[in-house]
Amino acid sequence: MFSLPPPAAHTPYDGSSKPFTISTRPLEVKDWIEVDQNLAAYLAEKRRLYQTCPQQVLVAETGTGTAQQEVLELLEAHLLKYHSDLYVRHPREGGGPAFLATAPFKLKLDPRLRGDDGYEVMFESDLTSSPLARAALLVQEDLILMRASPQGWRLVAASLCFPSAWNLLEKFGKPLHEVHGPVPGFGTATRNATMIDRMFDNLQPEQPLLRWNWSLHEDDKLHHPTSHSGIESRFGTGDIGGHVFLRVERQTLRKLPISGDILFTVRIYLDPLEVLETLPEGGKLAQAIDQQLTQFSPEQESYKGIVGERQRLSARFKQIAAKNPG
Amino acid sequence: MTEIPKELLALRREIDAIDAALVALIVKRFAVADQVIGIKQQHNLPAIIPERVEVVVRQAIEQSKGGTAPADTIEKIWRLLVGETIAYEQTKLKTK
Repeated sequence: MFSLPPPAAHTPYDGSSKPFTISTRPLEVKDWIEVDQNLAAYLAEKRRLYQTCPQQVLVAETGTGTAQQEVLELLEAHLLKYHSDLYVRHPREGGGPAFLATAPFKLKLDPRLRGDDGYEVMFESDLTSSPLARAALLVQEDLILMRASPQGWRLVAASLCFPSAWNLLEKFGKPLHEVHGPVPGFGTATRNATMIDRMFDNLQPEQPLLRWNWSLHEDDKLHHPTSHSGIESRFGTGDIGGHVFLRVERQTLRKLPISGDILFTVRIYLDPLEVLETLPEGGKLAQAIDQQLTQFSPEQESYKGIVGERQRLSARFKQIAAKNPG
Repeated sequence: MTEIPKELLALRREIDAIDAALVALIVKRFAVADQVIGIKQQHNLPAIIPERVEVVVRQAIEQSKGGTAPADTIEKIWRLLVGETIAYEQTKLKTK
């Protein structure tokens, strides 16, 4: 169904997805990709980033072209099967293979994103040669390709426009345990790193996985390539209200049946903290977040960038819980 | 027909006894899985929990250390055992 996402569409901060745990769960294939009325805005932002800083948001090792094409075809087939009201196969002028495009009359796309024929113009630059970029311009998700190697599963290609406080170029080419190096408890030789490698090794194409991540951000920008680690003060001065956003990452893992690579997708959801004042269960959610933040170790607090903000955040969560006891 | 050496017969009897014990334990394992299904249903948990699979397989490999069974073999057997248990749980969860 295509509609505006409800406020706080997903609430993994309710205690169901503990931060700093792996916590994957099975995902039905039909639920793999989520599309809503923010699609046009997300795609516009992806296009802007591709145009202004393509080397920071799109990377690929040589030898990944076939797997990228597999991603594109898998995604196209999925969208046509499960979101056929939103996507149409569009014939290419002058022949050539048809390509998938969003149906703009349904999306109410910004006119600047449309071609003369009313269809969304596919990305017109050298990047069109990247099947991963073409795939990423169909959905709100970021797409990351992981490949098995003697060093472990490595990040070999990605269209990552909406990182949550990490830098794609720093992670490109690295194995998972190094990608996760800054995350407390997930670095090289940790139990979590071994577990993740084994889970990747044994992932089956017919059984995608889902996991959630959440964090507190100082704005509602989608593109956040800078780490918060060690930052003392992030949420403005004075009243913290209006300066805190709940950032939810819906992550999926899918084994590609032909290449054997793994596609990691990340979809971002953003809500101002104030949304908790309007939800019937908002007080309970505020309490749950506060409780989880209290349990963070100093390293975890630092990684999440809330060292200097812990007291102010706690006070705000308690205020919301008191106003909205549910 | 070649006569089977007595020592081999004795070892075969030992293997048969071990197999009987293994089968009894597998049956017992599935009986526990039946209880797990009820609890998972009550708490809306899926049959497959990937981290749990890895914990179980890792435990089996650790416990096998010091013996002569190769770790790879233990891993293969346990993945099969766990996979079959999950498939059993999935079927039961669907029919409940």
